[in-house]
Amino acid sequence: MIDASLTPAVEEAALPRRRGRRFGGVATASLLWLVFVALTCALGPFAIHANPNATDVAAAFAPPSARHWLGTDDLGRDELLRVLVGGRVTIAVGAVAATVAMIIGSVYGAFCGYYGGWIDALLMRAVDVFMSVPTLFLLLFLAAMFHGNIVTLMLVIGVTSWLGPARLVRGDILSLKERPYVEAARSMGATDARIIFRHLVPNAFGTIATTTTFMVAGAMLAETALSYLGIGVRAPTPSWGNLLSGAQSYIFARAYWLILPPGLAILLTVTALNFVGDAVRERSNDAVGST
Amino acid sequence: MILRRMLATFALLVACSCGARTAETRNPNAVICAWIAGPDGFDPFATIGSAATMAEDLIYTPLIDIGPNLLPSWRTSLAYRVDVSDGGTRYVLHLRHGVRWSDGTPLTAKDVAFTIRLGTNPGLLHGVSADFALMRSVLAIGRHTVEVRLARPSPPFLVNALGEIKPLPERLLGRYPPDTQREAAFVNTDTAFSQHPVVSGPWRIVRNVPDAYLILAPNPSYWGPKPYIQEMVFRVYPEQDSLFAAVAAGEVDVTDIPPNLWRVRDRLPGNHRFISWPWNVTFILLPNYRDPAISWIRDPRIKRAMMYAIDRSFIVTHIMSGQADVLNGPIPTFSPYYDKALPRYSYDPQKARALLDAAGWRMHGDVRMKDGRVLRITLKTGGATDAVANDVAELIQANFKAVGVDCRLENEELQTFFSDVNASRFQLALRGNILSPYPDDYKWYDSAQTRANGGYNFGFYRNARVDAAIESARTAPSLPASRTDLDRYQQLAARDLPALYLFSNRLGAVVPSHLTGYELDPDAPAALPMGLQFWKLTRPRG
Amino acid sequence: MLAIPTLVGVTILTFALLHIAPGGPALALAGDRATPAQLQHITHQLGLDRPWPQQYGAWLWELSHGNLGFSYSRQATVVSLIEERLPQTTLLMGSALLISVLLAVPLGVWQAYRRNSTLDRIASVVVFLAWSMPTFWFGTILIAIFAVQLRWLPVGGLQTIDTAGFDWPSRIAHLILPTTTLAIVSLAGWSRYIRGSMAEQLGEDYARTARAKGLGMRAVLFHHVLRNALIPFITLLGATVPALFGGAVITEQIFAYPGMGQLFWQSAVDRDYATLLGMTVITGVLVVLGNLLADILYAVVDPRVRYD
Repeated sequence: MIDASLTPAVEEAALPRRRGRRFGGVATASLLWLVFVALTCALGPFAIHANPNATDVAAAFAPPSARHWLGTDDLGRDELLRVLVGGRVTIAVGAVAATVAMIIGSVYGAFCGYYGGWIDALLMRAVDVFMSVPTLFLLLFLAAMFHGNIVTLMLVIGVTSWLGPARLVRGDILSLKERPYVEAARSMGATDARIIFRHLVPNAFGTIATTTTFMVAGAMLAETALSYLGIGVRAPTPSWGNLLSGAQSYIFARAYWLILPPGLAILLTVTALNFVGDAVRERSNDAVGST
Repeated sequence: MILRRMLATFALLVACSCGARTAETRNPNAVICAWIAGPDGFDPFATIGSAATMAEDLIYTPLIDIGPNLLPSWRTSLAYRVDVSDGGTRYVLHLRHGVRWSDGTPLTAKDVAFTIRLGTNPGLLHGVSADFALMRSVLAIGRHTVEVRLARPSPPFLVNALGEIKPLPERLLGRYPPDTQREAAFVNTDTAFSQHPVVSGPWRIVRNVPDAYLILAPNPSYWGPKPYIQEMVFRVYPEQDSLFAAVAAGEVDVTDIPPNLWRVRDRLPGNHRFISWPWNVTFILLPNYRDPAISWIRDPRIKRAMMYAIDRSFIVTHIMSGQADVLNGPIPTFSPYYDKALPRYSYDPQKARALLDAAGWRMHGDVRMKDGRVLRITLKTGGATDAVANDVAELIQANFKAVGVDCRLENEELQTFFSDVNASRFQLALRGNILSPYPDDYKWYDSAQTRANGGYNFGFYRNARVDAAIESARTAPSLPASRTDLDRYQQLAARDLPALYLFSNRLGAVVPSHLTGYELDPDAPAALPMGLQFWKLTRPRG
Repeated sequence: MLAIPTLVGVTILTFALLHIAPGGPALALAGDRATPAQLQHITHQLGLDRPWPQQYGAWLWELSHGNLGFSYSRQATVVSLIEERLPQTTLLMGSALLISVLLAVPLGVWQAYRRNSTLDRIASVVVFLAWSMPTFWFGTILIAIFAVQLRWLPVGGLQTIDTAGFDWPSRIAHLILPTTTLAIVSLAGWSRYIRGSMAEQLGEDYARTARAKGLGMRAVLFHHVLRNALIPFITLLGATVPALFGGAVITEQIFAYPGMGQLFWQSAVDRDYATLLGMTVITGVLVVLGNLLADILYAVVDPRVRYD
């Protein structure tokens, strides 16, 4: 079985590298889903004309109906509206946290990769130190210190996840800095900063783009986990994470309309992000050529 | 190939082990209880937490056992009689004869006197109630009598102070001079006793695996009625939903049901009975009277308006699924000390608005203003995972909004919340107070009992008349005499509102339908039915 | 070796954070009914009123004598707490890792061969879906189906209660659900990595040359391609060492599994400084050892690697 199946892969690998990579079907579907989610969460609440925190306890726990498409929650709030507004929160947290992480990580990694030597050794050792500090405790500490508002959460997740990107970007820069155009730029008198930011970092764009996509997915899952532990987005602000963890208790009430929408939203969106990131990586690998 | 073999082995192992699932315990006559956190030890002076307190209630004989009516239950107490004389300043405790520790040594007055004295050591992690400050002397007279003298009479002393004492063996713990830091340090860190105590109560510890389970069995050297159940297991499930799932899966027989799960209790399969009983606790909104931003809170009219504005019965019915009783004052309605003539605050937003208008706060758009100030307050809650507290806070916010009070919500992580309340960093805090058996609010609302002076008056409430009422109640010469003063305190509190009284939670639990003999104790530390030594299974579990 | 300064750095950082965090251990231990006098006494007893550097120095001194401190909130020495929990967590995480890798490697290899076929696409979708599930959601669903509905497996715990010692069948039964939760979620990462790595190796010159030379497919596969693909994989494994000892907080919480993760979280919530610091040190030491091991393995597997 193995022999026969090896052939297509090896033959394909034997073909010249340029594949004019089609953005595969799944990746396209994922991209479409992401766009759909972004638009509905951004615009949907305006169409529904209600306050996501407005309670109507007499109508609590109503299953989906014409009036409330996804039913109501334990305080009678419209679940669809809560999911959409929650989407805004979770996606925003994911995007901003990932951006923060990528900016810090890329700059740090580029620095380390470019200078090399003892600077690199020292700075990467610092990264090791940070990596060994228990993240959860750090998150609890920061959440407690800064009274759990959303901006804090974004910064907290960002600040605790820049280490991975830093390593990746550093790796890229290490190989890129040997390229001839870097020598050329240096001989023309370009400053280090200029070389790093004008030449190296843009060429590491593939890595950066891929990693950012995965970081957004990771940050969204982190928000979910933190909300579950109670140090993420706090009531009454909805987020997919706290909607999902709040609904867990109602698994026995068979209130599926409370459990499935936020769960599926997270699941599908994070999966879509992963597929898109994967596709971006393949594309950028092709563009760069074999490493 | 190798992979396939490994998968096969794995599948075989899985198949074998599925059979093991059906018996979480091998004993069909065991009763399995469960809680969210296990006991951190068994030394009452070094442990905190409801599980530890409950375990200690089971393994030690209490000096004075408090019964379901918040009064002494002599049948299960070490002291079978207490004589109060000298105008309420002299207590003579008569101890039972023939009580032994599990290592065979007799439990005597020496142990009782030692424990009482030990509890007043300020270096202990968990000393005894502050009412012991009144104590002038404690003496062991012979082997079975203890005499305690107070500086002045104190009706709460018997149940609040002596009721907390679980005598500990002086032989093992009395190593250092009394009342010293060395003694405190020793007791705080004595793992040997804390993890493997010598017991005197109806139950003994068979095995304790921290954060996993605790197994108790009847104590053969117990002086009193022997338990019927031969094995009591307490399992730890840190996650409330998993705990509920365990009941549904038949792994757990007895556990508590929090209010947010009360509405789905009938979805649990199997043969269960759901019981609910009053809890000696009050949930209140505590204002901070020293915060200049909300100085208007000192006006009782505004507080009364807020009481009329909050639809507490609605909260009780819909959020707590009926598992609470609306409070009319500082003492819950089921308590024997409750003043039945107390006026009630109905839900009346019209009246609330009228009161606010009369106090000079006029509507400007959505909120009320007076002299350029907005009627705005921040409501602080602790613990993000407490669904009920958060829901209650949101409803209160909505209620306030309807009458023009702008309320912001702030939720803190639990320890941060405690430290904020302790340091009076709040405007309005939603909190629960577990009351002592005799409802003495001295430390909570007396003007002099601020944090700095050792009290719990976090909100800096000051009212001389309330002070006087509380003082006379707690220094009355006898319990009946103090009741009149308590009534007066309740009347004053209902009018002046040191805090906004919301409701008193009830406790809820699930028990197997073939379990009998349990007692529903408003003082139950772990929200489980008590009287475990009287529990009986009418047929084996399983 | 740079390990020691790293460890020291970590402990200093943790120490500093602990002391800035609001709500210290004295209040958490004594509860909010404690009088200020009592809190003062306890703070003094715990040594928290000394200046930080002095506290840190004292802690280091104790550490050098093998004393990790005393956990007041649990009435036990930190060493005994960790001794109890470390094996449990290692068992759980180790099993999850093992299963995850055992499933991921064949899956990744297979996907590399059938790259971009329909089956590969479907497998990718399934794998990504698994990767994207919040652990607590997945765990709760597993409990609802297998423990509550079907009653095949227990909801939580370590093993059957009244058996002392290590009861294998019961242990395995209790491990299945939490291990599955952890393994499924991390499966994706490994299999994607192997898939990419394998495909890359398959496209390398040596692989094509070997094929062209007529060596049997199996030989090409097992002796060269897989080995080369696994080299970076091993260093990746090294990066998961912290998790082996740190545990998974949420999974342990849901399945009532008393391991390091749960201890860590509970200590953080209770502000149990001694335990937190102790766990940080132990975890740090183990992480360093684990990385060392990964480096050694790397050198063994790839004879071209040298350490200067």
